[in-house]
Amino acid sequence: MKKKLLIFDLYGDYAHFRKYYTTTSPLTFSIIPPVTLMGVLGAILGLSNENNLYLETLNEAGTKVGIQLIKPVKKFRMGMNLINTKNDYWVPKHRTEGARTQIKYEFLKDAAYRIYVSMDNEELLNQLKYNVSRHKCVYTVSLGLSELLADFSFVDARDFNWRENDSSFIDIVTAVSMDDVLQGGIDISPGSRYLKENMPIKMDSNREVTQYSEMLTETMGNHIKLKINGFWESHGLNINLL
Amino acid sequence: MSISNRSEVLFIYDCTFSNPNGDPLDANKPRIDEETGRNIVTDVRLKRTVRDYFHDLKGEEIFIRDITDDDDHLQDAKMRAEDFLADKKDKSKLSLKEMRETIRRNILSSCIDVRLFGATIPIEKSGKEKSSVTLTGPVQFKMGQSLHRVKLQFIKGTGAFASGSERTKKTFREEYLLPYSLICFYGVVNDCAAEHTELTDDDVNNLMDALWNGTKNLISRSKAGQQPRLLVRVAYKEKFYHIGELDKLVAFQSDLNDEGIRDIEEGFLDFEKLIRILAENKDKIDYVEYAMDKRVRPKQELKKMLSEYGLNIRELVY
Repeated sequence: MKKKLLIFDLYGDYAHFRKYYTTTSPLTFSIIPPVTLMGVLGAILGLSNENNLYLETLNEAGTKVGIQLIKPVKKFRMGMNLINTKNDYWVPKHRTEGARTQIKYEFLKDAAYRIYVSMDNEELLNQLKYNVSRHKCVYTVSLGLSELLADFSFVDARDFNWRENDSSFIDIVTAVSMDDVLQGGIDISPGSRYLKENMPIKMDSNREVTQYSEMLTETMGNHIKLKINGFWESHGLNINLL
Repeated sequence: MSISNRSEVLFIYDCTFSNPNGDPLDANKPRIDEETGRNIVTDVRLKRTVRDYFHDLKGEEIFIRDITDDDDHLQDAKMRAEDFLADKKDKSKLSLKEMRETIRRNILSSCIDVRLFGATIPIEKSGKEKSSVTLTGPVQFKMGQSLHRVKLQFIKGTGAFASGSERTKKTFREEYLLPYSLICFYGVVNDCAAEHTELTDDDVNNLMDALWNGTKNLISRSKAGQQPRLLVRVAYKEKFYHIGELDKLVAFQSDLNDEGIRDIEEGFLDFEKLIRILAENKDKIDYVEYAMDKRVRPKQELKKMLSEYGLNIRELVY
């Protein structure tokens, strides 16, 4: 089995990918979730967000992505002064919460990813490749929040081959869904830092998450040695697609 | 068709012995990236500067401002949205969809800040019938960062009053400030998103004016004395293209230790990378406009060098 993949780098000074289970303190995922990446691809392609058309188009195109961390995960927290819009009217003097509300946000710093994209719809993938390679985007690309502007640069477009597992440890460069990892299949190497995060992987066109998976990442940006069901390979580079 | 070009904005200003943007959850300390020692200013602080300039000095309507009634009640977003119904009593006569459309249309035609920065506007006809208007701002600024490491200074002083009745001593006050910070902001004006908010070329020109003069006219104790130093806007003719990350292409060089810098004249602004990359992209660029404060010491002559490379460059006069 062969697939044509577009490879590009996506990076920005700051990023914030809000975790779904926090209602008050906005914490961030450690890497860009695949569903957020769909929005980035939509912005580059200029797909409309009206009625979530971009999701419909990208899902129909059979979009799959691989996410490789190229800089270590760094997090910091900063207080933000937000406008309190609750209740029809309130008296700042009389109510404890006041006219402004201060929220501590968690941000990622120096976020940088190598992104691998495959689509069954060759025409759309070519369009994406055209835009990325000429550094064009229809809407402005950001990392999680509109003010966290991001940039991207084209790396390559090439064929990857599907490899079945032969129960040996394989060097995988991307984040991997734990669903694909075999029992006892993680070779923990010293100096590496591993992280498992439950993340939204797929979203339908109503923006309802249809798949959550536990994602395994090495937070220093190193490869992970894994026994895995199968993977995509090109010139010794092994990746996992979601 | 709304605006003619996509453009990128680079805006540099400085402040001396002031707090350019305090963190409300950290003793109102200036925000500092602990890893690099650089000062951070949020995008919302810059947008507040722009909004206040439009509203307070130019008399323009803006959507996001504090409005209080006679009892000091602050208006909420839903009530604010209904300010933009021609007649509030119409609410019962209109369907939710009509109400939403009327509010959207009226806000876009009257509020320059929504055309520039977008807004999420909650709409409520009744407890059951709710909707919202979501407009992505065509203009997005990244958080600003100082071009050098900053020194954080803790200052104590006496207040004018006692802290309560029957006290004989005045209170103490304490605050954090930065002796100097040269802050660089970067933003994109997206032509495609501009169509959704009906942004015009005039609005973009007004934004440039507001960045420069709004920063200069920001009158509050902690922000007084801020000076705009450099404003650059690169407008593109190549569709869907912009260079990106212009803020990484300008450097501030000084012989002094970063924390020891106290004035713009104690260093040079180095445009080498910016000039090189603009020159490389000259076929994609329609024009470059800029304003530079007289006290800036540029390492390269920006205007002369760019026009030598064949770029169409014009100076903004404020």
